[in-house]
Amino acid sequence: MTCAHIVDVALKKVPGVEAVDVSLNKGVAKIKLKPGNAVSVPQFWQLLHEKGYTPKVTAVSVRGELAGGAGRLQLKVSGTKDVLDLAPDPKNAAAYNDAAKKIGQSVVIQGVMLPGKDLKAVVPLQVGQVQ
Amino acid sequence: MRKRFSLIACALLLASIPGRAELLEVDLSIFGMD
Repeated sequence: MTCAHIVDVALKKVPGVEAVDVSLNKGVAKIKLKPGNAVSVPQFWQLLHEKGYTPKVTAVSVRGELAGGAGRLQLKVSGTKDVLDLAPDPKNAAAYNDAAKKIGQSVVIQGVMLPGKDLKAVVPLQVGQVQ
Repeated sequence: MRKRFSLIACALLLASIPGRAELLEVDLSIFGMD
């Protein structure tokens, strides 16, 4: 059984995962999720860690409603109290500023999350693009 | 008893899903895979 197969099988078992494509050459697992899923990125990080791998930079596409206040920008899921803190991408701060202008709107944000020492911890999403 | 169990189950569920938003797609870089 190859490493890619182990990762592929483990990720497909997560409820809400629609499809997984593991690239050995790139060292990347592309995961597509079902609508209405309740999956979090730290959940994937922990799973990989349990399988003996180290999760690195994670590109994320996520839908939610922008909320702000007290100098913070957040993405919350409609109808729930769940929130994800947003942070500027050092390479593209304009995208964060663009998001700040859309508070109250439902958007899709593409960005990056970096796992910390505690893989269970929710880290900010660095905003790369707002749609 | 059943109500108490439901409350505990609900609290555990909420505690286990912090900071969640609806994810559409994730590209996960993995170190140590060969």
